Amino acid sequence: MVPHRLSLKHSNHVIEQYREGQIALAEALQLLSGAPAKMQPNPDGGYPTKDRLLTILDELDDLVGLDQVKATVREIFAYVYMQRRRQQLQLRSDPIVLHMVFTGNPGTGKTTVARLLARMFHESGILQKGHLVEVERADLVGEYIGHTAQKAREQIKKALGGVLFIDEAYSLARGGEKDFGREAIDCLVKAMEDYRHQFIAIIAGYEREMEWFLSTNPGLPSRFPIHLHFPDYDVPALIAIARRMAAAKQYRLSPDAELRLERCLRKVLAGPGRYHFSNARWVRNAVERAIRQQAVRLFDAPEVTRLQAITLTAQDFRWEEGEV
Amino acid sequence: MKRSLIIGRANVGKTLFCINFARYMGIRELRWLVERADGVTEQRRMSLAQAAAELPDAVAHHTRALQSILLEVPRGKSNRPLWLTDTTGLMDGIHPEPAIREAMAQTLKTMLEAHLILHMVDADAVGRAAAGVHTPEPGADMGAHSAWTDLDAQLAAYGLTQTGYLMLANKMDLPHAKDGLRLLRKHVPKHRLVPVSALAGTGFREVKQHVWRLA
Ligand SMILES: Nc1nc2c(ncn2[C@@H]2O[C@H](COP(=O)(O)OP(=O)(O)OP(=O)(O)O)[C@@H](O)[C@H]2O)c(=O)[nH]1
Ligand SMILES: [Mg+2]
Repeated sequence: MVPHRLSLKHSNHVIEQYREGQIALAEALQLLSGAPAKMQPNPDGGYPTKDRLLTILDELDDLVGLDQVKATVREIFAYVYMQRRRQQLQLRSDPIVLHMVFTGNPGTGKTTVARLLARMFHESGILQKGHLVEVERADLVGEYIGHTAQKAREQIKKALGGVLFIDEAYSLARGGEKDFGREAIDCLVKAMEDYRHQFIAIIAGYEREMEWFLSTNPGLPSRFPIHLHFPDYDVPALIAIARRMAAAKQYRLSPDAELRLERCLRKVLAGPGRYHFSNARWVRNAVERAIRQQAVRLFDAPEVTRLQAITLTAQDFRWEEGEV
Repeated sequence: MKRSLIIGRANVGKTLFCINFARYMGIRELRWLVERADGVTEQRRMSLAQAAAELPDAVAHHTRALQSILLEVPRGKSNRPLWLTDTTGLMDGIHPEPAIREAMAQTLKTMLEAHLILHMVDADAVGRAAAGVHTPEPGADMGAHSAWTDLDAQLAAYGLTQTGYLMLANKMDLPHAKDGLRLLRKHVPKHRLVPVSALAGTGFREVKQHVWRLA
């Protein structure tokens, strides 16, 4: 239940200090619950220091794959940084419009990157809070006249100071002329005017559908000037993701487990399953299932070594007939 | 697999709660998965009667590892497994024994990863401490040992940052527990607090509902 990676590192450090007898238990607990509050807004207030931005970008670089996404984000941050510097030098600086479109299949890292961006914009002093509010059609669209505006406004209010992430945004335009989804879009566009620099909207979904969505409303494309495309992961990347997910839970994959996973992935990606393949989410499910299988496999063993306890073997990666 | 963790200071009744809650859930034979602080895991099987007799009593703070029981949580047509994990009782300050600190560090680490945290406090001891009655329980090494302290306050503060946190006020069958519960409600006005008796089995229904909802 640790909110993000940084605080995990922080938490481990705190526990280590307790173990070493350097701090009392109550103090350790205090530090553990204080961890999220440690994220203060940029203390030097003005423009972000280069070091700070580079540290944040490192975190992005830690993600598997996504080279194009990373390159674009770097450009954005270089630009943000330069605009701030220019302001400092009393030069003309253009207002930055940072609303974005994310395209890609499920499980390709869109939400993860959105969450990181929110924090990065916060650390660079652009967003006051840096949180992410993730919504979909049902959160924005109401059932009767006036209801939609009310619901949409509520979500936007929640997102002020952070990022409003609208997943499967194209579904807002799908219902036709009389659908309340249109009203939600109008509301969003208006809020983007009214609260100009107070939040960033990211609309996300499958590539084809999002292209269609942007074409349904001539005002939309210019309001979302930044486009990031999230391609499907290839097999080596998916394996790397599996390794990370396992390591995050203190497990490792044995070589034969990796081999089996790889074979299975190739099979899925060659078959009809590839059309609705959910990328990292598929891998997460596979790893979580393997962890349960391992527990069952080891349950009746009278003694379990540390190595056995952390190793997921090929036996633990099993799929039922027709699943692959 | 999701884990619900019983955490709290030594001798508040964590182990007895685990055993009797498992019984309440229909488990007849206990299969504990014991994870020691040094990373070794082992299995222990015992009947409920045996467990109730052996585990909770003896001297205070005897639980020295994580010990988990596998519960089945109904989810749609199938069941979802959930670990119910008993932990080493937490003790204030910097414990002089490295092995004990190690065990408590393990408890803290597990707490960070648990989906559900059941923070148990001894309502009776809180009531007794407030009334100035010091009748150390048999086995407890200090009378005030199980009352409300800074450690609980910090655990509760941590709980506010987590969605799966619930406070259990235990030993409600004892005479000072009602007063203790009242005091606890004052200490933590913002928390959900469920009065239980690990011994008598009261309050288990509410705990079960909470666990079901979040598992
Ligand atoms: N009257 C009463 N006694 C209880 C209750 N719950 C636990 N006890 C008693 O309190 C003592 C401690 O119980 P344990 O379950 O061992 O406590 P614990 O929290 O597991 O202790 P550690 O493992 O040492 O941290 C035992 O003597 C139990 O019988 C309760 O609800 N009512
Ligand atoms: Mg115990």
